[in-house]
Amino acid sequence: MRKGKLGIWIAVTALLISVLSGCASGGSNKVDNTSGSESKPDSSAKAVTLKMVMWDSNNDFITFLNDKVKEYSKVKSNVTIELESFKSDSDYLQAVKVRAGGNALPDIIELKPNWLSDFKEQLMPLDGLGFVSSNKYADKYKVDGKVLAVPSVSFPELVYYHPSVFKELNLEVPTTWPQFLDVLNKIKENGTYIPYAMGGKDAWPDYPFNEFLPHILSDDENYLSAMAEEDAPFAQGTAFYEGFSQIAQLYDAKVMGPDPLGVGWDQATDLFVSKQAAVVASGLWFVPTYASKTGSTDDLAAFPMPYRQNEDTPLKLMTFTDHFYGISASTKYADEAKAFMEWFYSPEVYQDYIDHAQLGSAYEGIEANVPFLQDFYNNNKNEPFLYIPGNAAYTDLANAIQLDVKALGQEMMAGKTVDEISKDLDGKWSKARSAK
Amino acid sequence: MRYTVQKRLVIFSFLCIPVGLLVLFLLYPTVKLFQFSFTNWNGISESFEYTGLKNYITAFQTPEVWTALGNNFLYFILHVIFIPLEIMVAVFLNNKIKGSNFFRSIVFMPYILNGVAVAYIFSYLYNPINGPLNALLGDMNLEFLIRNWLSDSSVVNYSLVAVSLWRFSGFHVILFLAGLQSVPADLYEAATIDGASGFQKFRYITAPGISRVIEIVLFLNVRGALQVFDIPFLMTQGGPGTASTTFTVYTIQTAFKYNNYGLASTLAVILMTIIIVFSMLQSRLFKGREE
Repeated sequence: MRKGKLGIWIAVTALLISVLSGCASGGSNKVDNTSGSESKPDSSAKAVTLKMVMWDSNNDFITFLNDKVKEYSKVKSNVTIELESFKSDSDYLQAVKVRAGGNALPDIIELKPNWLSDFKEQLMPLDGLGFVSSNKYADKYKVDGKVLAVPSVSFPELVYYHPSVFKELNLEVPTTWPQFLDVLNKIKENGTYIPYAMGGKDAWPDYPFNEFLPHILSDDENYLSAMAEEDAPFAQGTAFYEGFSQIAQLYDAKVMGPDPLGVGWDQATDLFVSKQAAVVASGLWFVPTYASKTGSTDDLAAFPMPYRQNEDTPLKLMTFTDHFYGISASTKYADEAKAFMEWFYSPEVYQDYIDHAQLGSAYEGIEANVPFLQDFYNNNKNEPFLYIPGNAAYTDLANAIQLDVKALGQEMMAGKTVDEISKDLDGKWSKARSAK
Repeated sequence: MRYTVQKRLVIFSFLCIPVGLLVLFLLYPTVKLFQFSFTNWNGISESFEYTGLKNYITAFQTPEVWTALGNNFLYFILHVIFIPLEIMVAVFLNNKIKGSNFFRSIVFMPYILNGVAVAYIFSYLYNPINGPLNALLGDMNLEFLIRNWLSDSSVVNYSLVAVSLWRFSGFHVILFLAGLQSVPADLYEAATIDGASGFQKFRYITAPGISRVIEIVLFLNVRGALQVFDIPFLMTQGGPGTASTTFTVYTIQTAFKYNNYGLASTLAVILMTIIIVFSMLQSRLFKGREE
């Protein structure tokens, strides 16, 4: 009996040793994910399936893209595009990170601009390719001097309002921050409408303020990367401190309904759509959502978020680029993936893409057919200000101190002061910098 | 082939698959977890560096970790406070009362419900605009009790613990009920003949009779309170800010939001250690009492 037990233990130990030695062999300081990292040239006759992964909250757009990429088989009969879609960008990011860790990334990956540094080792440089040179913004988002992905869309960040409400309350479109607060206060005084629909329960809807305001106030598109060079970028006198103080004026004015933190984005936009709320801020992507709920955009108009204090300075319009596509460095079909991207961004295909996305174009010579956007540009004078995410140094520091400006926005709405935030962040930032 | 050899061969072949699965899905990930806890791996990069005990020191020196653990402690302590009430309900349901089977089913129902559904139900109940809870308080002229249940930093954790109590108390009641039914009825008969009061019966017969169940419930409580994730994650995402962040929510965010798998692995190891230590302490406590 004892011998029998010994045999089992020997077998178990052998299994353990074989598994652990397997880990050890890959593990001086490498994760075991070297398989499939070579890019093999394929003959045109060989059947190839390219996996593409994307997110979008709009089901119709996902259906459109699914059908669109299938058309590529007519151009290259041996290539099939398999599209996998996610409904939320956070779920998408989590899934892609897990796959990156296991070296199971799809061939073509969609990204947000602020994810590019994180995935720099997983993306293939695209410099010199045709679809890169004709992209208006690709060069602005180089990581370590290389273009790793190209943005598919650009769009302005807007403040939406109901013209009927402004007319009823005799309000003018504000062009400065004090005017903006004044408009919201007047709506509050009237008492019929919630002045601003925040949706703060979800944290991210405060991004037009907590993420963009200090950035625009700095007047430097590379403000976030510049922060990485400073020891106290949150201290009094910095763009961060001034911006957050400006935001505090808005949050302290109590113009976001009875409980801005108890209502999520969906509920907040429902309040706006049903005309219970007068104003909401978000990207151009909100227009299709609004139109799908109301059937028209007749009672919808927009103006640039007036971050400036007075009319002596230009009215900056935060412009966001999004839906970047890059090619995985571990793809087995690099040539086929590049050829697909050339097709995808060819004028005819891209025009169809951008018209369905209902967002601004990222390519020279191609304009999106978005009447709302054209009306906006016709009616509002502004100076575009491009959102450029922080570089790798900034991302490392921000991750080390777990910096989430949108969660800080929630804390401000819950009563935390700018001084407390600034002191806390500066302490952590300086410590993280010295540890690097 | 000799019989003993055949027997060993059969045993080995039958054990091979489960042991292999155990190694692959439990031991190997655990070993990797310990390995990553000593690195700065970001979860995406192909390479990482060993950083010694740096992650462990960071974990203990980060105030947010302690705040998150404090939130977990609130779940633990309020669940412990509810145990006597759960036992009382179980004792009540153990009596031969009309419709006791119906009530037994009802108390167990919340446990069957999916966590996501529970989160949505309570998000609706706590809703500040047209939310039934505040409306009810208003109708009952209890306006002074109306709160921003999920957005007031000083209230949010209690609101979430209430959901947890609603969800798990019924399950505990059923466990206590099973314990109560295993206590032999003749002990109560003998106690009645000896003139024992109701409290004495509970103190000297019922309580020792269900001590094993209490131990199990306490273990489930420690494990559940330390690992609570779905309710705060779905209802508040740890917010407002970080007010309702629990240890597991913090760990998940460290790994996936802030790309620090090394530190997240360290936090997971710490969590595992805390659960083991608490369970051992608890087990010793009960053993000591039994002896």
